[in-house]
Amino acid sequence: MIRWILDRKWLSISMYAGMLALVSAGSELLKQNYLGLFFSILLGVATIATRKFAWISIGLIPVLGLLLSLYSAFPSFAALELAFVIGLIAVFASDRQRIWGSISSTITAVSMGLLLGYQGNYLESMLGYQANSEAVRFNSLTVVFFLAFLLFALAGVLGHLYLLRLRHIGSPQDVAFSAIRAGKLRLEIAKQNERLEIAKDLSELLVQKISAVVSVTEGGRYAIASDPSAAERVLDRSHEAGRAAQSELRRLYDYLNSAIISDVASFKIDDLGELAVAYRELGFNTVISSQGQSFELNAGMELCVYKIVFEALQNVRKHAPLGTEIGVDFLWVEDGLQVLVKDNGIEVSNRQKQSLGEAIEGYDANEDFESLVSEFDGATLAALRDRAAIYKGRIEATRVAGVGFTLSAIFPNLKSLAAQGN
Amino acid sequence: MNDLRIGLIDSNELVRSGRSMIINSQADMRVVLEESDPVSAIERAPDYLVDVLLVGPSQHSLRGKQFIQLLAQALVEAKNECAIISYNAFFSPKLRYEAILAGSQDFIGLDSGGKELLTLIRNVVKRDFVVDPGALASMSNVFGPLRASNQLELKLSELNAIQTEVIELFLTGQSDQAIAKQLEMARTRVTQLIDTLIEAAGLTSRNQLLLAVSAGSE
Repeated sequence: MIRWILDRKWLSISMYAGMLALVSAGSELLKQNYLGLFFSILLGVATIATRKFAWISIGLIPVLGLLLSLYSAFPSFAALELAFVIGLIAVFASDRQRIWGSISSTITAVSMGLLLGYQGNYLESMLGYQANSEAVRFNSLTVVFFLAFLLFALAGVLGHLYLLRLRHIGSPQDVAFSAIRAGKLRLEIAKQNERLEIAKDLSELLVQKISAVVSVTEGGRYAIASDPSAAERVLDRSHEAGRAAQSELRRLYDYLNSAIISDVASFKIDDLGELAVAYRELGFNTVISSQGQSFELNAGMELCVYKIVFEALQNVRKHAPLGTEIGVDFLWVEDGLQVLVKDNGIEVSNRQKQSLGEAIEGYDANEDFESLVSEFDGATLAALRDRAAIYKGRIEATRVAGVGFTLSAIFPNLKSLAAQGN
Repeated sequence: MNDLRIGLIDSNELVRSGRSMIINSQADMRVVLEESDPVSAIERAPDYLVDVLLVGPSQHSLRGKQFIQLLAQALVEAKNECAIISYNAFFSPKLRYEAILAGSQDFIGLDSGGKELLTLIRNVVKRDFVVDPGALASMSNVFGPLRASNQLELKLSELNAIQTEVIELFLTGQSDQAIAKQLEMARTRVTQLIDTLIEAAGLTSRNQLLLAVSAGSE
């Protein structure tokens, strides 16, 4: 909760809630309907709660229905605002909450039908007729109920569709990243196809050379059997054929190896954006941020930083549960760079255990000590330290008790080293 | 006994050398011609005085079945009766079928031993050599049949009862001698009938005729 507040994830939903409450209050005040302000305030509260405390919003829906039926100066407009809240619940709530949201919305539609259609004169004032019999009042109840029900159902369906879109297509940013990644992959595939063609040609040559070796040695066997003096000539030819095959094999070997090296060297810090998208798709909310004025790095440095972040993310994926949030922060200072990869895996894990009724007893100093580097595979950490040391960097891996794991890579003189290298 | 005269066409000099050593080690055959340039091979093919041409895959400007097709055509047009055996680095039924369709008498891989090569050379010089019809039928089923031309179908429809019997026996893979004996007729008549059909259909080998007639009769 505190982390959620500190992360300011409530900011965007609060802005929506504030705007909705202000619009609602403004419309009520147009008719100096101060009682309607209760509806506006509760509407704001219900909107904020949708993101993190959907149960509160679900509970408030019937209350809001009652308030808008009894006190709102513009019930139709207020119903639209309430439908917006129902739409938000459909986006953020769990499946179970969504079912309760539907029940709550249906009860609200019934109460609106009763209060606005049967007892009130909502339809009469709109359509200009007199409800002078029980049958007409009952018809009004039915019409208001269906209108409200359809509005809320539409909001719920739209909200759910938006959620499905986010899940399966992603946000516009995710789609953009995916498009970039797909483009890069297509390029990479084209490049690999080209390499494959060259490797195929080289291997074809190699097959010919090996066939020549086989042909000469086999021919030699027949020749020596009929004329033993041919042995020297056969050996010379065999040696010549073997050499030719070996040199072809060498070409293929060099080509395949150089292709792999150039591939690895192509990774840059900018490519981490795609990696973050991939991790989000895997269920780890990964956010990359950068502070300070960045400077140019050489290809080796870019690869080094990329590799450190890549391994750190792999480590989170290996040890932390789904839903873990990962922050990759780049802090650029005058001559150096610090890269922090933080996760809240332990917090998420504890939360999941708590929700299953398991008792969590907090943490102690012993736990701190034990897990200092145990989360990271020793060999990986050592390899990353060696890699960072090339650029006079150091890596610290620490466990933040009760929260998660943090990997810090500090390169104090990276800019100077980059300038020297250039 | 006359030696079998063998020609080698392959741009890889070492492969030629190896094949040449195998052939020259035999008492009944010898390499009389080596050629590395396919274009020149096609130009000079009509004048070749060889019984068998061994044709490799590694030709500079002409490769695989296209080269075999042109070479077989040039030989047929010059009425040069030398047989073509093509080879590649590895044996595969598909390569064999393609080689046969292009005009080779048969195909062998360099991964086969020298003994198989020598046996094949001795077999293909027999004028009535055809690949086992069962193997041809199975390759035809897998890789697609060779369609009979209209001229061949016309010619087949004009055959009398005896000639039809000759072709039916030919389709079973029997030699000309065996067919002649079975039908009590001269061997030359059998050979002549088959050669006429090959020429009328615009084909270059008995294997192709067998494939085309089999496909037409299905």
